[in-house]
Amino acid sequence: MSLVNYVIYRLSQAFITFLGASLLIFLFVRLLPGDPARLIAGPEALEEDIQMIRAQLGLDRPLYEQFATYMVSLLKGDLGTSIKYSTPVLDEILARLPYTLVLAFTAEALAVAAAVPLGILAALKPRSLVSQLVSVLAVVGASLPVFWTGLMLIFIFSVELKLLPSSGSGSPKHLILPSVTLAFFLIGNLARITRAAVMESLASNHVVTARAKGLSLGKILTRHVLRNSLIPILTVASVQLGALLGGAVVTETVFAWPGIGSLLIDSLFFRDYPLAQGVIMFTVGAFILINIVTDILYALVDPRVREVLWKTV
Amino acid sequence: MVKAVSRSMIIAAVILIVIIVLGVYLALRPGAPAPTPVATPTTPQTPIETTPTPIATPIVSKKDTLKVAIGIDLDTVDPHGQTTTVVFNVVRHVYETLVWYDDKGNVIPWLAERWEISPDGLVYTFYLRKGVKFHDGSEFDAYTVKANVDRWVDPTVRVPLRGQLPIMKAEVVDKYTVKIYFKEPYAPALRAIASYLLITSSKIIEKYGNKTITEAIGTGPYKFVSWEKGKRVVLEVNEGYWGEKPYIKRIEWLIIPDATTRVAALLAKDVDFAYNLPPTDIDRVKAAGLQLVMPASNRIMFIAMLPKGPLADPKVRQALNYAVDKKAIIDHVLYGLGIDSKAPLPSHFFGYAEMSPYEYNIDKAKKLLAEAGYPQGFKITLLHPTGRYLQDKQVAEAVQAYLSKIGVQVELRTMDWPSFVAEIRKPLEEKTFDMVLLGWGPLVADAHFTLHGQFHSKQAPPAGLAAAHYSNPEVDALLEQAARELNEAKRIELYRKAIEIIWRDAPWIFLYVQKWFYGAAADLKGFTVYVDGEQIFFHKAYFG
Repeated sequence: MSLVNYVIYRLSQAFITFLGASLLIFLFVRLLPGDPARLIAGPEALEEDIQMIRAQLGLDRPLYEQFATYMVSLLKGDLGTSIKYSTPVLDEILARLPYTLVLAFTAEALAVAAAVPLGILAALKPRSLVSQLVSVLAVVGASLPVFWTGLMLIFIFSVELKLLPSSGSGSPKHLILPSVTLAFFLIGNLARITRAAVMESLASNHVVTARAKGLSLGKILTRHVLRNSLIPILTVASVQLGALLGGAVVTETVFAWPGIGSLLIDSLFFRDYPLAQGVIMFTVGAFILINIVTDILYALVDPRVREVLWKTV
Repeated sequence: MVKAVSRSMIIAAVILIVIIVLGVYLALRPGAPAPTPVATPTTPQTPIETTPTPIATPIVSKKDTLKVAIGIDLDTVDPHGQTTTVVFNVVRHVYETLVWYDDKGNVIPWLAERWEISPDGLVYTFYLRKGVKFHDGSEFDAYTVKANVDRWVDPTVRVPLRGQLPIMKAEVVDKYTVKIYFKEPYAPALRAIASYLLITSSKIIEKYGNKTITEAIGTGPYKFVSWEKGKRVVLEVNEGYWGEKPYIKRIEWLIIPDATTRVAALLAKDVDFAYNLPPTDIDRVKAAGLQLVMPASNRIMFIAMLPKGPLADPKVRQALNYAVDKKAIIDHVLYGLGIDSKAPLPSHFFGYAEMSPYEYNIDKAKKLLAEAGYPQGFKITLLHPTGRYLQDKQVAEAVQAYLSKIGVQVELRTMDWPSFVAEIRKPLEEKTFDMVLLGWGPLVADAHFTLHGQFHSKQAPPAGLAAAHYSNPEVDALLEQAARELNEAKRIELYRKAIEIIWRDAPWIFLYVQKWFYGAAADLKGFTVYVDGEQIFFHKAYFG
């Protein structure tokens, strides 16, 4: 089976997953108690006006009818119209998407750039200070809530030192604090995985052989160790990235970063069904896509995976 | 290996503790320990920060751009689709209305130079200001007003607050005279026109018809430049403004959802003004030399008691009122951001009448409970939202503690806002709670909107949101009469009567009027706090 066939197979599988997900999302969003019309108009509005809005939004029609309309337009590529903004859902998502992409990729890149060397060093010298630093980072990074880290960074770097803007977006400077906050959360896990993977392949037979042959450490690392350790690192990094693409909800809120995450919170709070659905669908799509890309990457880095994957399909 | 890991765990734990201690230190550093009551100037009715500007010396602002932090994004710029105070506040710098308010809340001429009301109260004739131009260049005249009114009454247009301004139609008399008709006499009409009927150009109305308007074109001192959703809204000065031109050329409204981040942005001087700050940060903002702005809101906070079980007895409801120390709650839970209520509406509302308060008195409360046949107290459930109102959860907890002193066991039930609203909208027989903590903040400071909305029996859920399901034919009649009464003195008297009955019947535990906490840069002057406190105007603001 060729790579093209494999990709087609995976994409068609993804399509079915996506359809299933859209039904679930449609139902779950509506299971939340609350009435969008009432939330738009506010508690002080009169019931007649609320009824009118409900009718205008089509919320008075039976659920299956709403679902049918929704699916028909979805298949045409139309995600519907936001209740809150009265604009196409797709436009809203596309307007926020660049922010989320920039933040997610920067944070993940920072995390990888810091974690992989740290992990390798830690693996090479398991009892060294670096190794302990990795363990410490893993615990501290994962235990500190992101909003806490974020607020602390804001108070230190913006309020006290006045070096960086406290929140918002618009310049590379604005990107520093939120991406560092996120990266700090990601580094520990990634470094630990790297250390474990590198240690494992260091102990494997072919590396021992290569060492016995007297190959230099640099060559062993790049040729034999890293390539073998790449898969677990790739897995963790892509899962992290997938989660970040769904919007780093807390970080975005703390730093007033106008990404997908804050859009989702807003839309759920307004019970803006079409918008919430759209954002969640988008997140699901991104996650599925990243998984496919990761699998293809596996195959590209590792001939063994290539064999197994493409044969079983 | 095991040893190494456990050692690093210890290091990690130490680092965590150090970071947390450092954080707590940073957070609490300026000023006293957090929960001490803060005495704040309580001048709810008059604008707090209107610096009188001497006419002789022309004002020049030292900075051209004003940055304002708000907590929520706009939902729409449609002039007739507005519902949220903060959003209203932003677009009110762009749109104007026929009439407006002075510092004391009196209705004054604005886009209309004067008006006449027909003796039967059904026709309002407005004589319009000449030479006013919209930001798109088109002229403001009677046809524009008619186009706006037509859109307001068109049932195919989404106008959430249509019912608050029940206009029938408009009629052009001549180019600068327009008549607005009502079906029935509607006493709050002028105030509602001042607050709700934002005027946009005829061109825009033709372009969008009954679709949501997404371009903000008004006649106001500022022009709408851009809205990057979730990020900011930019306004620039309208050079052709008919009135006094603003000193500040550009206003950027930055959307910063997290309240602590807004404090940080203010402290870091990234913004010059910040809305809705956490009361816990009062000392910090004060210590940094910033201006504290604490206006009274239109929102009265209360606990509505449902007329069932023990709470069906007015004596029990009065007892609960005596049992809660509102002043202590204001001082210790709200950090001073409340005004003890002496009526079921804020004191700056038209139609307010002061009653003698239910002073905190446990003995009296116990006695009343015993008289009602509950010497041992009883068990009830209190529903409350969280994160919607200032310290809402904490207030509910305080009330729970006070009521336990007279033997009333309160079970708290917390909900997020959308679920909460769905719950209180249910009919009485479907409600599984006995009391609900709610705030009621109509945009127009007129007794009608609070009293009719909360105490007219027709407004009881599911028809409306009159949370206490209060029903008293006498009060219904008084409120209906007051809504039609055009003589202001008579109207005030009708409301006074209604308030007396409501106060005695005590369908609520009357709590307080909420105050806002805003912060401003030390050099920002001349901004005005509009009478109901919830809107701040920057058209006369400057940096000096």
